[in-house]
Amino acid sequence: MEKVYGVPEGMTGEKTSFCAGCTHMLAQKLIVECLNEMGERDNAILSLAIGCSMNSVGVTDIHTIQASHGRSAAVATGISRMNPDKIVLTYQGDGDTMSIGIAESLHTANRGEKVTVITINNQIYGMTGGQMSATTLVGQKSTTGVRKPELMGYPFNFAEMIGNLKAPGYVARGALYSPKYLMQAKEMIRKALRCQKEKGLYSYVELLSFCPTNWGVAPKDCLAYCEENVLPVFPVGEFKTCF
Amino acid sequence: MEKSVLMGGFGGQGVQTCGKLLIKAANEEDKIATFYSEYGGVMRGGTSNCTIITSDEEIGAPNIKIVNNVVAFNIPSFNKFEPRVLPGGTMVVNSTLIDKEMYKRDDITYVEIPATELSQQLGSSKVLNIILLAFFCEYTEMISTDAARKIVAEEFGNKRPELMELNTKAFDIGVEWAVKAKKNN
Amino acid sequence: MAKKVVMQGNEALAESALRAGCSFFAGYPITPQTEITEYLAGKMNDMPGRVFIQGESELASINMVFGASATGARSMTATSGQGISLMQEGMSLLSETGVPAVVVDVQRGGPGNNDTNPSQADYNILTKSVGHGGAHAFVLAPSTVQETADMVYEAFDIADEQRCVVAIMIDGMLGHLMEAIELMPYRDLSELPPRPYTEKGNPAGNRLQAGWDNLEQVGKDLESKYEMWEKEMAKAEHFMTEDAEVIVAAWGTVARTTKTAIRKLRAEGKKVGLIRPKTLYPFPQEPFANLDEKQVKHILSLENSYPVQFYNDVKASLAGKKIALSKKNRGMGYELSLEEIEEELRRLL
Repeated sequence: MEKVYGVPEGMTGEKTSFCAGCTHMLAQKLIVECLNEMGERDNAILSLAIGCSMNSVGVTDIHTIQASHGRSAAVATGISRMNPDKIVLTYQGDGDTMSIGIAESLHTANRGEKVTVITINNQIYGMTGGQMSATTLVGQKSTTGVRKPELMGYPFNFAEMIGNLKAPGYVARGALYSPKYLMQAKEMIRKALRCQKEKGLYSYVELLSFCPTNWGVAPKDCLAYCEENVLPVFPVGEFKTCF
Repeated sequence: MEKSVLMGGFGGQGVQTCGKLLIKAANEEDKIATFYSEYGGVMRGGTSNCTIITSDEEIGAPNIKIVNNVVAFNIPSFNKFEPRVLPGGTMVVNSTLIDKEMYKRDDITYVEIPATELSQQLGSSKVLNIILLAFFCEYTEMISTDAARKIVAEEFGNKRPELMELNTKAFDIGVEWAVKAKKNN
Repeated sequence: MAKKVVMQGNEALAESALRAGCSFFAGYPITPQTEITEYLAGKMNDMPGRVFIQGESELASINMVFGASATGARSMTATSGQGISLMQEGMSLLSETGVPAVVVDVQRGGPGNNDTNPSQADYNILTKSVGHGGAHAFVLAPSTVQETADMVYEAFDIADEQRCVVAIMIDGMLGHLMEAIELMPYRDLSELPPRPYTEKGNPAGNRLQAGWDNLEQVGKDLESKYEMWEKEMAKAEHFMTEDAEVIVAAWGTVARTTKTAIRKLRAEGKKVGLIRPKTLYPFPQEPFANLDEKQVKHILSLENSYPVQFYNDVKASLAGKKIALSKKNRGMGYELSLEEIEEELRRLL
C-alpha cells in the first residue's frame, strides 16, 4: 500500500513542552517539509529565538543556533553574510520579532539580508504565562491587563509595515488554523525559501497560531475565535512578492 | 634622550599633517617617536595642536606639558603654548601673524619666519605647514631635514603628484629661512 | 628588518585584526573608537572572504558577531563604554556557548553618557563578569601602539583556543596616538582553525543550543577554564622593580605616563618602579603577592576612574602583606597627568 502521509523525514520525534492545541509543531513540520522538498535541509541553518519558539529545540534535524531574546535576525545576519550558500532561517514569536527585537527585525528586513524570518504570531507571551504582547488584540485579556488603545496602542502590523520597504523580496502572513490555512501557509514558506535561494533576497512569513492555554479558549473553539477576532486585525495574504 | 615639539594653530592650517609628516620623518631615521593630538575640539576653524616626541628609548607619556620646542602657527597657540617651552628651548614663530611685542620670556629663543606671507607668495596658503616643517627641522635639527624632505616627497609624490612641485618649493623656502636664522642667532 | 610603519592606535588595531584573520566585523560608531570601524569599512568589503557590517546598534552588532563566529570565521566588534553595556547580554551568550569573539573597548569616561576623553572606567564591567551569569572575558590591556597591534593579533588565537570572548581595553589616548610599529604577516585564512559549527538535532552535547541536560557541565567547564587562566595565563610587566621601595601599580596609558615619571626620579637616584598588568582578567596577583615586605615600603595604585576599580584588585592581591597601599585617581573625563603622578611619587618617596 502506498504511504501518502506521515511524519516527514527530519522530524526527530523529540518530546516538546508545547501545550495541547498549540500549533507551533505544525509550523515546524511545514518548514521541514519545504526544506526537504527543496533538498536544502542539510544546507539550512536555523536561528532560534527565546519564547515558546525555543520549545522546538531539537524537534527538527536542522543545524540550529539559539539566539538571545529578540536578536535572532541579527544572528541570522551574521550567519548569512559568512555563509552565502546556506539557507538561513529564524524562528521567532511575536514578542521576539515585534517587541524586544523590533530594531533587529526591521533593520534586517531593510538591509535585505538573505534570510527568511518566520514569526509565530499568537498575540500573547506564551512561555512566561500570558502577558500582553505587541500583537495582543484590543480588548483581549492578558495577565498584564486588557489591551486598551489609549494605554497600549493597537496590535502591531509588522508584515504590512515591512511590505512597504524596498529591500524585502517576499512578505506574507498565513495561519496555522486548519488544513485550508496550512496549505496556504506552506506555499508561503516555500515561496519565502525560494525567494532566498533563487533571488538572494530577504523574506518574511508571519504565521498566526493558536494559544488555547493563555487565551483561555478551548482548542476546539480556537478556529472560530480566530476567524472572528484575529483575522480581521491580521489578514492573511501576501504583502510583497518577487515572483 | 627625549626631545619634543608642540605645534599649534587654527584647524585648517595643516598642523596635524605637519605633525604626522614629522613623526614619519623621525621613523625614517629610525628614531623612536610618538605623535599625540588632543582630539576633543579638533575641527576645521577651531584650534588644533599636536605633540611629537623623539627618543632613542621607549617613550612613556606622549602628552607632556613642558616641551623643548613650540611651533606657533597663530596667535592663540602662541599665547597658550609660550609658557610651556622648557627654559633654553625654542619658539618658532609664524611672524606674519605674531608680533614681536607679544614675546613674554627671556629664557627661550624666538625664531621668526613669515610663513603665511611666504606661502601666499607661492600662491597657496596650504603650504604654510610645509614651510614651517622644513624650517623647524633645519633650525632645531630635532629631526633631520633630509628625512623630512624624503617623507614630503613620498607623501605628495604618491598621493598628490600635482602638488609636488609646489611643496618642494615650499620646503626649500623653509630650509633657506632656517639657514639664515641660524646665521643671525 | 622591514621598515616600521607609523600608525594611529585605532588603525593599527584594525589592521592587525585583519592580519590575524578577522573575517567578520560588525560595529556601531562611537567616539573614540570610530576610526576602527571606518578603517575596516574601507578595507574589508574589498577583501575576498571578509565582511563588514555597520550594525544598527551595539546590541545587534555583538549578536551578528555571534552568528558569524559560530558558523563562519574569526569575528570582532569594537565599541566604547555605552556599547560595552549594550553588549553584555551578547558577551554572556558567547561565553556560555563557547563561541570565540574579540571585543575592543576604546574606553571613554563614565558612568552615564559622560566624556570621550581617555578613561579606564570600564575596568569592572569587563573584568568582573561579562553580562549576567558571572562568565569572564579574557581581558588584554596594551599600553603602546605596538602592543595594541600585537595583542589583537594574539587575541584571536586566545579566543579560538579558549573558546571565549577576548576583550582588548584601550582608551582615546592610545587609540589616537601615533607610533611606528612592525605589523605581523597576514594569516592564511584557509589555515585558521574551523569554527564550532552548529550541530544538528538533539541538544544533548550541543553547546550552541545549550540543552537542559548538560547545562551544569557547561558551568563547571567555565569554572575550570577560569581557574586555569588565573593559574597560568596572567601576565604583567615589571619596570625597574628590582630594588624599588615604592612601586606603582597601573595599567594601559596611565602606566606608560608613569614610566616617564619613574625615569625622571630614577635619574635622581630614587628607588621607584612599576608593575603593569597586561592581562586584567586573569589579574596577575603573583607579582604583588610575591613582593618583599623588607624592600617595598609602599604601593601606589593609579587609574583614570572615579570611583576606583583597578585599585580593588591590587588591594586584594596584597592581602595580608605589610606594605602600605594608597591610591591616586582621576576620572569622568579627566586624566592623571605626568606632573600629578610625579608629585604624588615625590610625596611618598
